[in-house]
Amino acid sequence: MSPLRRFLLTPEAIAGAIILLALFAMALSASLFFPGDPQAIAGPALLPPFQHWSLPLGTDRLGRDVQAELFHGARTSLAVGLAAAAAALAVGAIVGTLAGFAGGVVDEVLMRVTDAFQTVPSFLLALAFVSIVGPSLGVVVAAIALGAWTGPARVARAEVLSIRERDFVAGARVIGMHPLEIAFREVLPNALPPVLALSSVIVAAAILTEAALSFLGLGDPNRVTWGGMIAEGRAVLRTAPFLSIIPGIALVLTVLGVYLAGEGVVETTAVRRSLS
Amino acid sequence: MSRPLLAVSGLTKRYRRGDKTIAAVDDVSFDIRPGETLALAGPSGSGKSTIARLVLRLIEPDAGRIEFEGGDFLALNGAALRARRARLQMVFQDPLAAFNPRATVARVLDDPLRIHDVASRRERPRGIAALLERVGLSADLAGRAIHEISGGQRQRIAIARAIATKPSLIVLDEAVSALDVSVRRQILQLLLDLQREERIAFLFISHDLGVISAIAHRIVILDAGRVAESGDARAVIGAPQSAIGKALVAAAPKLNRTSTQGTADRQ
Ligand SMILES: Nc1ncnc2c1ncn2[C@@H]1O[C@H](COP(=O)(O)OP(=O)(O)O)[C@@H](O)[C@H]1O
Ligand SMILES: [Mg+2]
Repeated sequence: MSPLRRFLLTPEAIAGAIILLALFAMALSASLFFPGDPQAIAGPALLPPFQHWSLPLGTDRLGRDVQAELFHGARTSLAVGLAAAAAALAVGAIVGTLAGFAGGVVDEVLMRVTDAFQTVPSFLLALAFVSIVGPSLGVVVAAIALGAWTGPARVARAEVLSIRERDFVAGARVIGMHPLEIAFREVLPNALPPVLALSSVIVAAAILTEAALSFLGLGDPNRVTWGGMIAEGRAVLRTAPFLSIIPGIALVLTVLGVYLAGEGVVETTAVRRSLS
Repeated sequence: MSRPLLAVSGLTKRYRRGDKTIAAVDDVSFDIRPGETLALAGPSGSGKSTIARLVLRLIEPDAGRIEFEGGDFLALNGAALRARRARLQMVFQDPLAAFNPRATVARVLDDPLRIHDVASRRERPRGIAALLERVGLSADLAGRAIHEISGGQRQRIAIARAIATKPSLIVLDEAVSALDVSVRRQILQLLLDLQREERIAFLFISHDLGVISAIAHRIVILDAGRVAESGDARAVIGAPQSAIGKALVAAAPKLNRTSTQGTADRQ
């Protein structure tokens, strides 16, 4: 059976995949269906959903199209979530590999740094970083990655500690390979699977953190974000709750979709590994 | 008598086990001459692999000297050590574990040629094909993944990688123990051919006296990290003096037949 078929056998994975596909479709089609500025006035203010065919999700306090904002917000959520997770995984894998492979003082120092980052709550870290450097998309990505790389670093180090004892690493030393080449070309690729298994949780957490930063007004001001939409809606929560509920649902579904699809992938590869 | 290629003296390696230390290798000395096969025999846990790893500088000794090609091998470090490794190679017992599970045959053979500048980037594919041919494999194998080929083929690849940098000594730690009988005979023959043609010395580690008598000139028998006896392989196996030597001979059932066949091969 192909991995894809097996992946699609679990209902959770199917649900996750559908949600993710919808999300990607939204993000990719945002500027096709809603060209121009999603923050421009599109109609009367506070139009409720399902009242007007051209504004199916209604408008916010300033008369901006909620559906357009939702689509463009999907873009920000996905971009920030994926970029922050990729950065966290890359930094974690490199730090963990260096620590585990070098051992001794290098390991000691790198792991103390990892401990330090881990003891600070990652949201506070992101908050402090964005407050100091100033909000922009790149800074938000870096701020989120700053609190997320320690998990991958620990997992990578543990994996490297066992891989470095294997014969093929001794073999690489015997043929005179440079230690850095051994670490990054021989050891790291073999240590990746358990590190990558963390990615769904990290992407989901990154999307939530981005939303929380935007909710607090620390997102990129030039972009529509779901967190920002929820914050906007808070002022009229009693009269127009849909303004907060719609992006809230999108956020919950996205995080759920990422998590379910990620679990499906891990399960499929775990099954394949235990079969072989 | 020619100068030794490898001279090991007083080699000692201790490990902590619980709250006492045990000597995995205890004051071991031996020489290997150019083009010679020295067998290291002994029961499981007697320190054979530890000696191999010490000689290869994969671990560091607690005491002792290792001279290789007339120089102090333990004094080398960093780039100088890596460069000298071209002359001192190894073949492992499990040819699957000895290679990166993601590697292809071509990459495994390309590495030593690249690292030691044996051939330029353009010449390396030809170098790889020549190595494959040298160990009796088809050059078509280059594109295959290591996990796709048979155990015997893998061990030939391991030997090809070991000879890629023209070493003077190859350490073989139970290199034929995991192979079935017919493949084992072919690999032993390949090793004998290589030694005859390129004058490579072998430190041949095995617990199997049958195999040893087919390939070794001299033998060192270990017992719990110490040298129990040593000497001409045929003489020692024919009339062992130490208790452990007698036990090993008694435990090797088809020894007489293999040994006469083996010594016939050697002459
Ligand atoms: N890294 C290590 N840590 C602790 N003890 C070890 C280590 N390596 C080897 N030993 C011990 O050293 C002794 C010799 O082992 P080894 O050289 O592998 O023997 P052999 O190859 O002859 O079977 C054994 O008692 C083994 O348990
Ligand atoms: Mg051993």
